[in-house]
Amino acid sequence: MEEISETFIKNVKEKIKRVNTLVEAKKMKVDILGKNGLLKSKFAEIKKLSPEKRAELGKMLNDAKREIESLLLDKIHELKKMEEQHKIVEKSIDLTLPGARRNFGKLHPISQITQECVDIFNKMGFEVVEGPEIESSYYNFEALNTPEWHPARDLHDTFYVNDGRLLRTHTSSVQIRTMESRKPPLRVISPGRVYRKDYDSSHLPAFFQIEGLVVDKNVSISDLKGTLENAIKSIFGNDKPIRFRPHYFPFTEPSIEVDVSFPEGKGKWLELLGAGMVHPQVLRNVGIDPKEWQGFAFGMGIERIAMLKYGISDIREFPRNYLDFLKNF
Amino acid sequence: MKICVQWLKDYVNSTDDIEKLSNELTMSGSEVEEIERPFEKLKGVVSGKVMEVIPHPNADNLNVCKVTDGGKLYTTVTSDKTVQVNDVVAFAPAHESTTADGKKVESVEIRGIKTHGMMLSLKEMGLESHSAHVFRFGKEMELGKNVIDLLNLDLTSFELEITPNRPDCLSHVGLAREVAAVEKKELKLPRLSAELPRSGVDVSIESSGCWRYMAIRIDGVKVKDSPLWMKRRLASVGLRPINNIADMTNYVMMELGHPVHVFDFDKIPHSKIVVRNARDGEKLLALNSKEYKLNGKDILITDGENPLAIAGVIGGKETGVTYSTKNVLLEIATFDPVKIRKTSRAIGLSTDASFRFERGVDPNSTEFVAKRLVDMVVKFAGGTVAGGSDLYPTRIGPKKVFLPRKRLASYIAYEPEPSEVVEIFQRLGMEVSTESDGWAITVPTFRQDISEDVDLIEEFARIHGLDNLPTSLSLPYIAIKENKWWKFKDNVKNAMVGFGYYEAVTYPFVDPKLVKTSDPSGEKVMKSPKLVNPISPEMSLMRPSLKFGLMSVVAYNVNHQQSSVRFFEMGKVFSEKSESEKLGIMATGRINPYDYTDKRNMELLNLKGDVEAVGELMHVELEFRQKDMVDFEVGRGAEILVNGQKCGIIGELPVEIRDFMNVHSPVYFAEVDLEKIFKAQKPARYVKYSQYPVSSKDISMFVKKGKAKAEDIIKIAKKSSKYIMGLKVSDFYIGKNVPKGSYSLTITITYGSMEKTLSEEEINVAFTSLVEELDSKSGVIVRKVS
Repeated sequence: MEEISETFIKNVKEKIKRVNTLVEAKKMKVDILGKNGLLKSKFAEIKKLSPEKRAELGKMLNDAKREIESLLLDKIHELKKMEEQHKIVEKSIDLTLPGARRNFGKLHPISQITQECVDIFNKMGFEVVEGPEIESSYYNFEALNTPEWHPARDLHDTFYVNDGRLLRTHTSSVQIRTMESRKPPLRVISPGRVYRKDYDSSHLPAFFQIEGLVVDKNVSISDLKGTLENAIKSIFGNDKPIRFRPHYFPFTEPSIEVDVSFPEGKGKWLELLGAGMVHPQVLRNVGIDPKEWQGFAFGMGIERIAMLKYGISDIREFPRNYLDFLKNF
Repeated sequence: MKICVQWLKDYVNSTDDIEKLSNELTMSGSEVEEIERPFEKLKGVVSGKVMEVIPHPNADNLNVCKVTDGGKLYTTVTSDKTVQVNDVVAFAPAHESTTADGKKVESVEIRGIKTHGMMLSLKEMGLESHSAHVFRFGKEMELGKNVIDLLNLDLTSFELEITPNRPDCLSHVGLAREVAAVEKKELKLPRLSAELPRSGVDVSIESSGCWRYMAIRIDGVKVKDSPLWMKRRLASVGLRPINNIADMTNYVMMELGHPVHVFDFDKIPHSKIVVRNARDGEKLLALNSKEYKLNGKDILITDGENPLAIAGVIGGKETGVTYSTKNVLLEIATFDPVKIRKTSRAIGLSTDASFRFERGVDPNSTEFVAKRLVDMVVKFAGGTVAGGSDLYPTRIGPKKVFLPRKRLASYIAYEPEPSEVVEIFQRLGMEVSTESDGWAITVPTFRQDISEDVDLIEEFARIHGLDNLPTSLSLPYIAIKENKWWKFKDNVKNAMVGFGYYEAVTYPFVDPKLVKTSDPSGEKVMKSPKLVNPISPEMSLMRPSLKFGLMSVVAYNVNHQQSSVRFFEMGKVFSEKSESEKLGIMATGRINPYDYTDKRNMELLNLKGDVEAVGELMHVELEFRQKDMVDFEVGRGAEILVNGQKCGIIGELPVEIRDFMNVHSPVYFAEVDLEKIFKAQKPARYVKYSQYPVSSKDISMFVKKGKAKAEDIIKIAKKSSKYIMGLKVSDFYIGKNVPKGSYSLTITITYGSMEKTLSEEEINVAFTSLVEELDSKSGVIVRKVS
């Protein structure tokens, strides 16, 4: 009997150890400790023994019961925990996988730079104006003080259209249209596409410009300098040296070019924009009295700004529109 | 244009700091683009003495010489039989030296004799265009010394960009004047001694395009090589020395900026000069050996009958100066810049002379230039002045321009010291008279660019230095106006980016052949503006649609390993009379190429969805009217309408076009007129929604294509009850269990009311009647309701 009890307890303990599911463990609890469980039958068995023996075995059984109870509870607890753990792993997501990306596009760098420039000048009170790309010679040249046989036309190798008009060589034509249709004071900026018959690694036959015009009273070269310096610093940062160099455009007097020096350029100055005080003849051409009004104008190439800002070496990347190029910006 | 710094110093005692000088010129308006050392490639060439001259054993026309540089003895072979023992030559040792054009001197075998270097001529040292002989130093000379030092070839030249308004700066004296003004130094002009005769040459002007013509005849000149110093200077500014007479004309032009010409007087058949307009078709064989055909607008220098030169552009070959010329006629003239420019353009020839004449040469500099040229000819070619003529039909004088003090101050935002103002103008060669309210300035005629006060302001500003003027950020306040059209276009672009499209920016010029592929009638090609002078025939048509540019972008990307591409472009398209701004969209491949959980390919309905979404974002209701058109596959195209008016197209490109693009999956394209959408925008308004619970019902049906249209089904459903609060397509399916030629469609209808909660019965009545109506419609079979 004693041996039986001992082996019985030993067996039960072994069994408990081997259990590895919660369902089994719960079943075992009922089978061993339940109303009709194994232990109950053991207790029933010892009722037949002598009182001493009964007491002795009873104690043994009671101890065993407590031990088994505790073992089972621990087991159940352990299995419960394990099960929870499994559930968590099952529910979990491997977030080291790359995101399943929704499609998104990007604006062409031309648009991005144009937008940036427009925003900067908007804040300084410039309003966007636009004009046609196929233009009459008058708006592109004559009104801008550049008569037909003027040597300055050499700088603008012009595309002509079969109906006698031309593709505008600069957005300055929009200045004329604006001054014709509005009264000063004026502060406008005209972004847009312009055309020159020129094609190599730094020239495109169709490219983008942004031009500005201020007509007001007592506007000076100092205002021109301040406005452009402010804009250039907004675009390229405060640390780039800028210089204002005399130049020539038929429609401004004095005429100015603005150069910027980039650290990568090793002290070389790069021409960034052309500017100047609006030529009195241009004002007269649109019926504005140059004794009363004066102002300044400026223009810059969008591709050039983008190339300097992003380190693009070949201007022909822009019209190619290769996705691997566009993704950079 | 090039100038030589050492030459410039003849006229102004400028700084020795080359960088500083370059900066001074740049910052006063004559931009130095490049600082060059014209003889830098001539390396390792030294003075050497000829020790032995023997005939070449294998060639009668060659000699073998031994030359020493004071140390080693070198063997060399020459064809110049005048080289004698004891001659001091410019010797280029093999492997260690290069000629002026940068060619390395090698050790070579000439007819069995191995050489260790060569004796150079002036040509090989960059100082002559043709050389007959090896160069020899005239006297005993230390041996082994570099020729750069011996011949003073250590020169610096500037390549400058002279703006078209400043022809006066196209010369050394002109730029010296600029430097003198910046550095506040004296300008030193060449001293003159010649007396100019006013008679003895028969000249007449019959063309209004000739403003002044001076001719000087010099008899008994000796045409020969120029002195070395003159060759050196001309070579340093990129001109090739020819002979003393030709070199002097170039020298004077580079010195004073006034192009001059010299005729061989004995070769002028009628011995006189008549300046007249050319006759149509008249021809001249020019100095460059090319024949030019002229017309009545060109000015010719003739002898009354025979053309001698194309005025201001190029001289004739017949009357050109040669080594046998004895008597010369010097021409110092000025012509109408526009006429010269037209001629130069018409005959396609730009010369140093025409470049200056078309920018404007001062007729009043004629005497000075003539005297300078005569002085030089007499000095370096001998001869005596035998006669002259000077015709100047319409004399021009200096202009007076007044610069008000207030005007200057208002332009530069401060009042400068009057003394500085006066000094700057004086140094620029102007006379200044100070008055109470400004300065009266007499502008010399070489400054035709100055005609009003702002021109003088520029002179002050550039010499004072633009960088030295104050900078201010104090523009007057102005109310900021927003350009709504610009903003609208920006919003559309941003919406497209949000829908997953990359922006393309393509050329507005397209290939007419490409346009014809989708326009067999040729109507678009006919109507689109064409370029008269395109870059190439493939870029000669102004685009009638954004499609063509997008096609090349999509094709380029697909053919460069990008299988799924979605692009949009916004830009002008052109027709006969007008241009309009459009939005073009083109896509092919997967809807979500970056989402590995979504393998769906783009369908035409996806593109339609994107177009609708743009419309909705812009508060515009777009309609689509299915229509077959040449742009698209049959049955896969539609017109887009706004307020009943056509504003665009959408569809799938025909297979042939896709094949042409070398793209193998379907390509979808839509294009809308942005201005029409912009104008149709409705302002955003608040619309009340129901506060009561709503309920939804689904109805699924088979729709037979060609018999029934989704649009009509939706219309019927919408009108079926006053309780419809919303309606959407919730499923679309083609495939298993769907009859051929039909599709399965499920719509979800939301019933509700603004006033109450609808009863079950109210909803059922409405829904049942709809189901019955749809089921009775031809081409529709209701298969399930819930």
